[in-house]
Amino acid sequence: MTFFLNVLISFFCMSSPAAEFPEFSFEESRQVPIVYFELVFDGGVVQDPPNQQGLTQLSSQLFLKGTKDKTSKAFHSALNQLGGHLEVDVKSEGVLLEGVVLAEHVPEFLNLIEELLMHPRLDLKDFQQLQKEIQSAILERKTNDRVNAQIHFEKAFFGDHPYGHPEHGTIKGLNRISFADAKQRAQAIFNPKRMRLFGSGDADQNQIKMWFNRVSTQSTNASSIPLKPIAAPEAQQGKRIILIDKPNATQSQILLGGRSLRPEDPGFYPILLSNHAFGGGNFQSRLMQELRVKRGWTYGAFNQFQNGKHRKYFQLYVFPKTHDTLPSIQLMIELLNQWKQSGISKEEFAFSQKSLIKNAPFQFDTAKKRLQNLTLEYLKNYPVGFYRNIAENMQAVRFESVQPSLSQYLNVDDLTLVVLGDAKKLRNALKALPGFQLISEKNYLDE
Amino acid sequence: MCMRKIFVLLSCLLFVQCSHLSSIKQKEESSVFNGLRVQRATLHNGLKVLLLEDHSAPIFSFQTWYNVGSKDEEPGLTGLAHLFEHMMFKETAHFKDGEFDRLLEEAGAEGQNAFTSRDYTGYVQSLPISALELVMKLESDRMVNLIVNENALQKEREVVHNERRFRNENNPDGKMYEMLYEAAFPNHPYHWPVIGYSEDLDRVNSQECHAFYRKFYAPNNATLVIVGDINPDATLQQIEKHYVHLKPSVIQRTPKTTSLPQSTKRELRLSIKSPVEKLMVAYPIPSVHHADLPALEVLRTITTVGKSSLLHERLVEAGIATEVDSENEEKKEPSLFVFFVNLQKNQKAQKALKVINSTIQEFQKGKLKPAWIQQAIAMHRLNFLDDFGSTAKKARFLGFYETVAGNFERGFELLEKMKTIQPQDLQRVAQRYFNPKQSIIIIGSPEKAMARNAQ
Repeated sequence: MTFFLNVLISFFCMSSPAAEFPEFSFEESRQVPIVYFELVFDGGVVQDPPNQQGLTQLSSQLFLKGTKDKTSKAFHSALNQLGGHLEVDVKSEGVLLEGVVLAEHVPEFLNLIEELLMHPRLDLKDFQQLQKEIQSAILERKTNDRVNAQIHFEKAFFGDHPYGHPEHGTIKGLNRISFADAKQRAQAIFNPKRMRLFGSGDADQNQIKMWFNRVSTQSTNASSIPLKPIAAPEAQQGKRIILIDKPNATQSQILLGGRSLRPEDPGFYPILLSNHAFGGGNFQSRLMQELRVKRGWTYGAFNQFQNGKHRKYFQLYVFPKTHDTLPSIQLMIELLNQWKQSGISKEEFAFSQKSLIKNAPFQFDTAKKRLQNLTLEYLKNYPVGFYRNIAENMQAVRFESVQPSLSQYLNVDDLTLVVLGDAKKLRNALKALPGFQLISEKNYLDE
Repeated sequence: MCMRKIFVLLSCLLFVQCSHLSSIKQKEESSVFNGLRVQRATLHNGLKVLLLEDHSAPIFSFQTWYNVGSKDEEPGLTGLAHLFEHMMFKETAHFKDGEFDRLLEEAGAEGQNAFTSRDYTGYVQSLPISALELVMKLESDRMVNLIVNENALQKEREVVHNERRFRNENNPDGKMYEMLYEAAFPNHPYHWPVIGYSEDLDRVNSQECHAFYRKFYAPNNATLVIVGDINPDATLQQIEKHYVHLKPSVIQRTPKTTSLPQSTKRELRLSIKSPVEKLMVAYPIPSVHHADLPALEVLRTITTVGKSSLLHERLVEAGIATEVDSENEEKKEPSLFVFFVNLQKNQKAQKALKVINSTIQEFQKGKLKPAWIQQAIAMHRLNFLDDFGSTAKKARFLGFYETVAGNFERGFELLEKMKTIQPQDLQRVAQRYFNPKQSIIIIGSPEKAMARNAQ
């Protein structure tokens, strides 16, 4: 029954809110004389074939390497001379071309973007160079414990589902990508006919719209690669531990997570509000109070809900010294269970509700933030105006709905725990953690 | 009798008015950019105030910048300035432990934070405009009424130890940076890391914290910066109400050496937990006050900012590095210009170093294109405007330059002076400051086992 319900909800998520999003949106704002652009293309890392993880990243970086008439340096120099720049941001379910430029040079800037869209360089030498560069970047990222732990967490949490694909790909996956693969994928991703434009700044909306209407109807040599529909991930069963060994580490990264909720799910807003009291990052939250303030075990302690077009995860994050790793995990589990079973107090509720409502204007106080909100709403398939309506939705939550929502909808029976630290000192204690099973151990340099 | 009462009443009003006027020692207004006007005031107790109106949203950013940092510490008690920054969120004579955070969070605070550097310590938050009175009450209170509790100090010491593990001990970049400053400043307080050494953190007690607080946390050592939906005159009156009675401190700073960082080449290797090599190359440069800062910043942009920069082309696109960056460290005293490079797999730091040196030599020989300078200026203008879209970043810009350079105008002056930079200026600073014989080089080499794994 649950499976069919999930399929129905997945179908609903794929077919509904995205269709309501405009293809073009531009907010005129004269506050500062610059203009921001987000050119949004559907797809993203989830479209990587399982044996070619990194294809979207490599193709997208390749696309940005200039045009038929301009090398990468010449192209980016032309942008920079206008007081502008263009970057590509590869997300889980979309690829963004993010541009910013001084207001007086918008027309020339758009001309350069058009030149890129219509006549990308897509050069073999650039491909070969990028392949090595990204592989080395993957290696370098292993020096950042937080980033490394997060990559392992997503892989463990999602299993074979594409949400577990790392954004830069894998070294093996990149080795399997040919120049032809990357070229074809780049052209397919950045097809102007599939482009959405969201922007804001000191420019005339009508002129931007004219440019968009003209460019988005032009054809390129792109062969169409249909997007694979991505089903909702299935929850991993049970309570599992993955240990990532970093020998002699003096500090552990602890990530503990379960299935998230989305705005359309019953209980979402009561749980979101109560999460502010539980682990919302402020110093009054339970996680901060218990783990940092009272015990000094960690510099930070948070719980956040993450979503894509489907539900992703909620994730508790704490980073204590090695000696305090087990007590920290035990306390995190205890607090999580307490939260689910008993909810939050009336005082905590009142405090969180008031804080969230008063803080809400900061979600959209600049044109740049409002632009970023729209992009996020699109990528996550959230209702348009989700961030703007936070205050209203928080206001509507009743205290009486919090504990029942947590009890009914927050799943703490199926959890993934990733610990990156000194395995020699942690292994035995983790094996003995009640209710959990240590299912794998890797070295922190492993893929 | 009636006339006498009126006379007394008028006298009182006049006294209040004079008192009101006399608490402000100085007040002036500067026009800075795009029609924006910064009002500067100084109270008689030495408190500096910078106010900038921004009515784009009903919010404001409130920042308190103290003219104290790790450079004001003594050897053996390093990390005190930063540890004390943590203590500033604890109980005061008027507010219980945790109330500071709770009240501001309940009022909708955004970006509530604090930071310590070698030269300054800052406390920042943004709030809805209705909370202006509240934040002044809290900030003025903790400026002088903090209670340094040994139990709270013990807990925060542990938190700082964890922060050190996160930023330094388990982070190759942090370890290399710490080594760089130790090598560059052998006889100067910039030598030790802001976060301090573990053994020193364990040594600090509440009496030492309290003495540090009394000495450096006072109105005459602070600048308030408020940017947002404010009425400057009304805001100034509120500031006076909360701050005017605070007493200044007598601050005697131990004279420190003011010579340039060490001036002989040093190359040091550090074994790091990384599968690839990392490189930091630093050159001594003058303080933020020096006339050469604009040229140094233009040089930095040309060499490392963006995909069209020289070192991106010569290191990243050439397959030597995955990333190259640089920092032109603006400080009160002579400091460092640093290049940072992450090498690609199987590439050596020495190769990157040769490329950096040859690029610098081109500058020294005057092989420069005016178009590079124009491009750098355009990029700077873009970055500046991007920052100026936010009240918090505007406030940070003003607070930084007021505290480090002595006046916020210096920040705008640097931007203006960049527009006048010519190729010969870049040649001159390249010759003067980028001498390989005065460089400090830190190479992070993978631990042996790691190097084998990466093959």
